[in-house]
Amino acid sequence: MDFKELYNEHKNQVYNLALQYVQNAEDAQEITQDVFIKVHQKLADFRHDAKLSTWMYRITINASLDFLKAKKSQKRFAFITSIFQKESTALKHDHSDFNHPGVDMEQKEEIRKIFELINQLPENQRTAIILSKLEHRTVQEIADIMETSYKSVESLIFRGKDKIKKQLAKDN
Amino acid sequence: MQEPLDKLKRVQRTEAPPFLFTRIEAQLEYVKETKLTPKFAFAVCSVLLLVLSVNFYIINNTTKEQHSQNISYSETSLSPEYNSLY
Repeated sequence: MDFKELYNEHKNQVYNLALQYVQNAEDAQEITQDVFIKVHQKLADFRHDAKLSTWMYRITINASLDFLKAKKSQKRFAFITSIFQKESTALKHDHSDFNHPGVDMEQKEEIRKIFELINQLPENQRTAIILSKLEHRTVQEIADIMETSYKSVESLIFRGKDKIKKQLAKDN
Repeated sequence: MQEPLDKLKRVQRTEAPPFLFTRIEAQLEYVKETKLTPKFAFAVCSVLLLVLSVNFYIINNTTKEQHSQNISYSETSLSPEYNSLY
């Protein structure tokens, strides 16, 4: 399979998964580019010990989490800059508005709140919830992607859902 | 009570924008032309770090030797005066 064929087969999988992490079309595009650059560089080393789609999921998850960590560092830097420079506009330009193209305008606020709660979960719980509730993967598929056991995934999903329910109850 | 996460069923799948592949190709071409792959950059940084460490070690050792030579010289130059006291 050549690179273009591979891209066409997996582009939507990668793009949509990135969207579930960042909820912003521009950020998801950037992550998708990074993922396919990495895939191009590492394709020769891929040992076919997992399905190609599983491998692509792993790269996308890592790229998305790295992107979010880098964004968090940038925000911290922007905050420090804004303290020392009165006219700094660093904090004013926040490109991570909720801009998920898969969400209708009417439901935007409701869905945005749920994503906000998912975003607060620890990384593993967040990944398990995203793969389960947004990507509709089975528990076994999630275990293969996350390279962990079936029971661990069940526990991650349970704990993630529980945290979200408790937070919603607290907010109400 | 409805599961709150059930609302996520309303989130729809979207198509990746068509211009993305062009951007990816351009980036791959750029990396190929500059040959600045992450591995190459890492190799260069490692070599620079090694050279700097060796230089630091040499300079540090040279400074210590000079210092101890200065002390020995001071001791030698003082000793006749000490001898004269006896």
